Amino acid sequence: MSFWIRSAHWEVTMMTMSKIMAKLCKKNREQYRLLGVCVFLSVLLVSSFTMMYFSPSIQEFLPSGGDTRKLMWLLLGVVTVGCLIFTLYGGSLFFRKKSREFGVMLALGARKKMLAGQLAKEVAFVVLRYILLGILLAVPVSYLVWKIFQILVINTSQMQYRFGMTGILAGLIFAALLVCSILIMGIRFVRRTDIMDILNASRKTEMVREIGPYTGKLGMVLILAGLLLAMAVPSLTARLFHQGMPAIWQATYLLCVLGLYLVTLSAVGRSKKGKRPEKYYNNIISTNLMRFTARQTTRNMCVIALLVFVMVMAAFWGMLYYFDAMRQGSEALYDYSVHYPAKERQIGFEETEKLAEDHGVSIISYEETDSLELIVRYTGKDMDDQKRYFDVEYEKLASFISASDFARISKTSVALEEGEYQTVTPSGFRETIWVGVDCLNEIEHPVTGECLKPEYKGTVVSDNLAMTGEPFLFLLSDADYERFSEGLTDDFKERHVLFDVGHMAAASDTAGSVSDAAGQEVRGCTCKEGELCPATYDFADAWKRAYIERATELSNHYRLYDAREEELALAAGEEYSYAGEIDMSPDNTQLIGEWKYAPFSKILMKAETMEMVAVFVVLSIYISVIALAAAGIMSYIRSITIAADNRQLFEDLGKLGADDAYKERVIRVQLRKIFAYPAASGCGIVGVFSLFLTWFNDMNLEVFEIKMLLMEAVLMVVVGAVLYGVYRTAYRRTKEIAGIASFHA
Amino acid sequence: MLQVKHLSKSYSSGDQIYPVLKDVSLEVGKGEFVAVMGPSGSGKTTLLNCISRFIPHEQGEILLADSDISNLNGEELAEVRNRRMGFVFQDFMLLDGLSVFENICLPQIIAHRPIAQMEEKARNICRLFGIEKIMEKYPAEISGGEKQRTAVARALMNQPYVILADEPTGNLDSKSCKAVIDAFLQAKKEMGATIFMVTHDSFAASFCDRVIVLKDGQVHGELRRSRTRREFMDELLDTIRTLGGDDDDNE
Ligand SMILES: Nc1ncnc2c1ncn2[C@@H]1O[C@H](COP(=O)(O)OP(=O)(O)OP(=O)(O)O)[C@@H](O)[C@H]1O
Ligand SMILES: [Mg+2]
Repeated sequence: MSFWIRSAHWEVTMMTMSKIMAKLCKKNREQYRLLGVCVFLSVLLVSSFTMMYFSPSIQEFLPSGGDTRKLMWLLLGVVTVGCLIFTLYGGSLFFRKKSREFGVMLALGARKKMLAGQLAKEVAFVVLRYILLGILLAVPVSYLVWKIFQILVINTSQMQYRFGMTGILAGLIFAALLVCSILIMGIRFVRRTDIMDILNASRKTEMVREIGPYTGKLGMVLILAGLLLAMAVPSLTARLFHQGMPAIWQATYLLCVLGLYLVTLSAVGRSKKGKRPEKYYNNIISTNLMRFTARQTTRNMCVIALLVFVMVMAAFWGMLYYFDAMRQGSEALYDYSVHYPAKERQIGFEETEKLAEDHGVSIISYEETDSLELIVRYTGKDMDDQKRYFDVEYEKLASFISASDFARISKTSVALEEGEYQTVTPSGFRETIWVGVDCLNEIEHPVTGECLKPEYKGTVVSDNLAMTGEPFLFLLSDADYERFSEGLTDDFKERHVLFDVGHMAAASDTAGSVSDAAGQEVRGCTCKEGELCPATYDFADAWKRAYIERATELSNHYRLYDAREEELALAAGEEYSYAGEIDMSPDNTQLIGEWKYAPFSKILMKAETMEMVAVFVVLSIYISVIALAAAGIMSYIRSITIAADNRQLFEDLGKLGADDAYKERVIRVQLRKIFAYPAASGCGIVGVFSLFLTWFNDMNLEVFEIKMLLMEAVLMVVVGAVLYGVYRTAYRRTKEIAGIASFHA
Repeated sequence: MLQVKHLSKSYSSGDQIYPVLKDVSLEVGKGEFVAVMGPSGSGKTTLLNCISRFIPHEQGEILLADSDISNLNGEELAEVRNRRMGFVFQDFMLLDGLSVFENICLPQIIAHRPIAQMEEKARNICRLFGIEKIMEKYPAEISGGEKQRTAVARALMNQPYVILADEPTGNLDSKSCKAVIDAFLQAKKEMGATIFMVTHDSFAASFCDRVIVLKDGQVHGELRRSRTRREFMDELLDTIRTLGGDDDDNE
């Protein structure tokens, strides 16, 4: 009898390698889906943000090279890394699950190249499909987010959302990065040679070394030390030694990251019996569940903590920016003010009044005064490449107003003797390191060459006037003002105009139409508080346009342009960096920011900053939403994989007589750690960080800043609540996976 | 057929190094049925894994049909594993996603053999091992013994030179155990297959031509079957007992 018995009709089912692979793939659909969902979500989150950020509508609003851009990039960086890491986490789970199959195939003599090729094909299919899906969906999502914010925040503007290729490109770059990382992961997976290792990879433990009782405390100390070093030291050295810290000093932030790692590690891996053995034994199962994948868990939790940090920070920054911008100019005494070269034929009182009439508003108070543009020499500071501060002598033109003119305009009294000067500052002004309020060394008459070494007599406040001077606008005694006016041509004079406008409105009449005699004149109008009055807004807009229209080449300079500096630079054969004509079209969104003679109007400012701020707020809130989403997804995946990996353990516990309540407790303790530690440490760090940030920028806490910090605390509560919601969901799902009946949940 | 020369292997855990195999040399002739016995932890599984090159070893040579396989590259090794070796793992290592039948076919699928022939062969083996009723089931749905027989069947699929089996009868009742042994004996008789099997089971070992006893990572001795199987088994039981290892008996 033959060993291989021949037999009758077998139906022929084609069995080939790719069929087998396809079948295994189907069986592992769960795994593929997890990887796919991770890829999808991270691509969606990141690219919908980049689409928005790089959209022309937003890019046009962001000042180039500003701190805000830098911050946006930083936050985007962290969020990108966060998304990358949670995807890689999904990837590692995938490969871990895949390794048994891979190992068996190898043991049976399958060639690695063939297996690797097959694997690459499958993974590529899943990953690319979900990337495509993510990017495609990012388009409507970013549009939707924009719409929502437009309704909530940008209510006054007609800003249109436009797509730019850059955003899509950035999303694709991120996707490429993702593919590369997964590829590297796959290559590392395939490279392994020890078949027993591969076979056992799915249940391999990755114990960390015994963790000392001081790890956690050391971590906290490191976090604090890192923050102090990174934030306090540069501001202190700048103050004390006039020496900033080099950029590399930022590396001290890494101490925080290390500290965070240690704190988390001790939360995950500490399992000493210690002083409370009953607690140790109570939690022995959950602790050991965690130790099973300690390193990975720790890493994940750190990333979640960082995401929480980014989330709160971004939202905090957005709010800070918003409220700070809303305060700007709101203290100004006059609603409208403008200055321009005295030689320019600008709209005068009559024309302004006519314009007001046309818009149903009236001019309430109208002040006009001339300032002298005199050459000043003053000392300021600059910073060299090594971040050292050094003194610089400047020579340029500055505006001077007479004490009595100022008193009239600002409705305060000013007493100045001959040879004295005062410096005009905005309200709430605080000195910077670059230039002091007592900086003047000498004043020179630009025509006669007459000089004066004036004596500093303190500061006075006028928001309207202060914004016209660089570095400041100064006051001279009437006698000095008189003396310096002599021989001074109109070339060296500027005209300052300041006025208020009232809205004529009847009780029932809200907008637009000119009211009849019954209309009362009121300062402000019947429009609701916090809303822009349409009539006043229209007037302001028309006034601005008229003003811009009248501007000639006498005034079309950049904000920091100075005729004297240009003259000196040209004489020395150098190029003058602020030379050039500005684009004076009213549609130039950057005009108000860049123009030396930009008109100020409270209502326009408010509208414009609101638009601008809205952009920041949208971006930062969106980033924080992304961060929160990433943190939530990551904690969620972490939780349910714990349950899936330990299904057997829960079964065994049951066999050993553990009731559902016991098993639930095991899960709860476990999940709480996963959620609570990162949330707490992320919030803790962000709290200290923003406290330091507000304190060390000027060694002072304003009421406004304290309010902001309180807001931040509220924000943290919100984060906590959201994560708690995710925790509840994860808990329910985990129980299901672990096979715990949920009727008494 | 199979020669192991001065094989050494140690595991390291943390800073410590645990030597497991210490200068092991042995030889298995063509068509020989050899068992390795020894107390738990003596390094039997490790020895088998080294021979199949599932895990790297530090020193020594492994010769299969007179050619050294300790220096083969991945491609060549794959070929050897697929065509010349058959494995039965201690914990089966069946793929959960494939049916019993497909699991058994796997070595031939990997080798791209003609399908009709392959399926026929697989069915024959299933019949031989009494698992034809469960062919379409999945590993999660069959008993431990059935898994074991599936694993043995899979190892026999490519008619390898050497079958390496780690406790192929570990979970079986004596009837199934006998079926597995018979399969080995038959493979030996029909194809001149060489079988190298790790076992705790003196009953299974008593069918072998020779039993190598491993203790503390060294070859402790060797017993050759000269008289009846019964007597050989008693001899094995005696040896095991004196070694102080597990005294596993099946009859
Ligand atoms: N991956 C590993 N890492 C470290 N030590 C190991 C590893 N695998 C096995 N060992 C150790 O090597 C020694 C031999 O193990 P091996 O599995 O070869 O024993 P065995 O003879 O097969 O035992 P059993 O009869 O119980 O299957 C044991 O002491 C074991 O603890
Ligand atoms: Mg073993």
